[in-house]
Amino acid sequence: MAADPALFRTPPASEVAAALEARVRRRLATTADAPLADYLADTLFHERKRLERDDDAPEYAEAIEAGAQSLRAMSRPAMESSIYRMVRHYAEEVHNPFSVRTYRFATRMMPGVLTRLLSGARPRDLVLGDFDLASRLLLSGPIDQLRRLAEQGTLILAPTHVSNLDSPLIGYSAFAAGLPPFAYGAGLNLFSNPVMAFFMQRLGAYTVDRRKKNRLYKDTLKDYSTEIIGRRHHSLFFPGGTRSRSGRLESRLKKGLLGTGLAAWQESLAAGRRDGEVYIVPCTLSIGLVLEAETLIADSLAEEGKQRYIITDDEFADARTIGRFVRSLLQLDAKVHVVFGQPMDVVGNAVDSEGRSLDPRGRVVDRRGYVFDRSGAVVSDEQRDHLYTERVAERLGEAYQRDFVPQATHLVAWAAWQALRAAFPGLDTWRLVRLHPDQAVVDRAAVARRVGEAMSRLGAYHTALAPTAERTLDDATRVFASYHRHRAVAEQGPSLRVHPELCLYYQNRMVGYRELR
Amino acid sequence: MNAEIVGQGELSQTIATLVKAAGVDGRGVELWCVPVSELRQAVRDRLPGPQHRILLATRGLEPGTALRPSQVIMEESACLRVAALAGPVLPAEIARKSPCAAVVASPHAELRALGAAVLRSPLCRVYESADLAGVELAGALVDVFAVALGAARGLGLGAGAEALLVARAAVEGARLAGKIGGDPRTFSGLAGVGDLVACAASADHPGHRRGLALARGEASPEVVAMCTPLLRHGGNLPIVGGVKAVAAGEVRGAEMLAKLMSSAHAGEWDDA
Repeated sequence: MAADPALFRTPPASEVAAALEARVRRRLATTADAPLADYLADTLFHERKRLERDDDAPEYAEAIEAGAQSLRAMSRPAMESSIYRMVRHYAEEVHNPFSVRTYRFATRMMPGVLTRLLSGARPRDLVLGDFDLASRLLLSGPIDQLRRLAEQGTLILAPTHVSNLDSPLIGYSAFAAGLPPFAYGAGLNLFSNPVMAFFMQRLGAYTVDRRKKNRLYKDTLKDYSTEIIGRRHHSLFFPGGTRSRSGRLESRLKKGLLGTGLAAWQESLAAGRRDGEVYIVPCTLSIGLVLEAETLIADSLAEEGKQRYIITDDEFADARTIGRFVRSLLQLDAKVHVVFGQPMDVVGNAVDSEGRSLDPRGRVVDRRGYVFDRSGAVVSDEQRDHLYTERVAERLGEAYQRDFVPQATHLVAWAAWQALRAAFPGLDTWRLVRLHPDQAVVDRAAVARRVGEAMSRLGAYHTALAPTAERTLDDATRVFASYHRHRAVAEQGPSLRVHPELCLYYQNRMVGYRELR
Repeated sequence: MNAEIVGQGELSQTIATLVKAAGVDGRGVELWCVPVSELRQAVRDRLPGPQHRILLATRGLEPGTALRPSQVIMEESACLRVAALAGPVLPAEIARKSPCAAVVASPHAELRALGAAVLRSPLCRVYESADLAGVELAGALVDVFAVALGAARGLGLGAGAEALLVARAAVEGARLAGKIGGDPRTFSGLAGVGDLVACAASADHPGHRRGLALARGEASPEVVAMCTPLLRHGGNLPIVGGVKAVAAGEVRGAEMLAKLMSSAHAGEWDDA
């Protein structure tokens, strides 16, 4: 029988704080006075500015103010201890101990609990599970291999991200696939729902406050991730960093957290540990509707520079909207396609069933050569590691494109958008999305023809689609009619009426498919 | 101990001379002087892995795939630390200990520093660049532009025409670099214009000899093979296209010259 996952034995916050302080101590030991002063000044400056808007613990706010006032006169030991105090504060804020009891309760009660959570039910209703979410989830990919790798090393699950519902869905999908629980970073705003917060805090979520922009906080988050991966906590990152605003599959990925897998692996090699292997697993999640589509595309189309990294007033903030969304999906008999991709090592090479790295021709290679010197010692090189992590990010982007399962809504929106563009050849995207609703009408037969052509060009990709273009078109218009305030594409006699913004959002999922160019 | 040199011929001897002059411990880096057409087989034979660091003196794009040499290595092996060497390093001048310069390019800072160290000496200045794609591309383009220069000389054109050719080659190099994700400035450095000026001044450069043959009306499948992979990347490359057409026997050198001189033109750096 498999051993309990390491996440079941999360250390207390004080131990995590001490570990993170030790990490920053090691870094500061090789930092000269001037850069150290810059580092502290950057932190105090950003925090002081933030505290003009945001609340925080009074003693923390006072310490920031006092630090800012006395920065010029601070000795090196005073600067260091100021940094250590902040790191401990951040560590305690970020860390949430995992609760095995809650996990066992939640997994026993799943999927009812999750379904009711998703539909905004009252807490006392949570145990009355009467709906089988599992039947709506279609899981695929090398799941047996992933289970084996999770036994011998640590997994980093790296999914695409469109909705705040992704974390619970992926968490449940991992459970349904027989994978262990994952630690993951969740924005502070997601903890505002007390029921969600109760479960998230106890089921692996660590708290990320995106309002904190200072370098020390970002470094602490990276240290935290490196620390927990080193302790063999399987981790989940959304490499896109945030929900895709445009609806496109992520191609530019953030490397900060992604690089912590490589860092943790090197630390375990240097320590001579045998259980420190780290594997990165791409994951795509495909669903015909996106809860927050209207807000996200509006934000994406907002004037450049005004895109909000943290959105607190979207559809996710309203439990009734979530409920309506989930009910729509249930009534539509919608399926969620979750594809676990081919696992790779921390520099982006595929790995075999035993976790050994493979070269592009499938030959086993010793990955330690990437970081060892000739004597077999680990050589630390930040610039090299950045390049290795860039490679992982590229491979993830390729995997997303390869693995994503397009739904009828994506393909029909794509075809309708093409038809709209053809109907208004002089208009660019910005003008098209501002078309009056009466103008945004396209010929239904032409769209059906485009859908049919696209289906034959997509070949193996269209596993989620009905067998004919007509039925695919019907499926999409039915789904579009079910939830959003506006219909992305709607039947109107021999024509289709298009809501350009929403249509653009759903069609953007198809951008990047060479077959459709 | 000197860096290991992989490959044979005049180029490997020249590199060996530079390595010897540098006289530093070059363990851990391999200098590959393998013709691009033989590179893939060399990778399959030697199977470099994660631990290897390769400095490639190979020039040109792979026929058939149009891949750069470093891409061939990474397509065939798990070796990721690859650098390119390019610049006006002329064997005859090195043999008589005349000073020269080169550029070592890799995104890996550690590798380009190591590569530069094993070649740097009073005989050779070595600059570093992070633009691997741009330097490899410059090496491939210079070979074609050298043919064009040889042809210009064969047609009896003067220094003004040669200067025009070099300047327009720089624009073409910048244009193609931008298209494949390289730095458009790279071609203006040692790997591009620097090498091209050396070609222009060297009557015994192979490109020069090939160009003279084209000017005499001789077709050259070898030159066609140099141009084809560059043109596969698309974009506006009139000199490369012109050299290929003459080398394929589709048009005579003088006619191509007339065509190029009368083609539409406006801003000097348009599209670059």
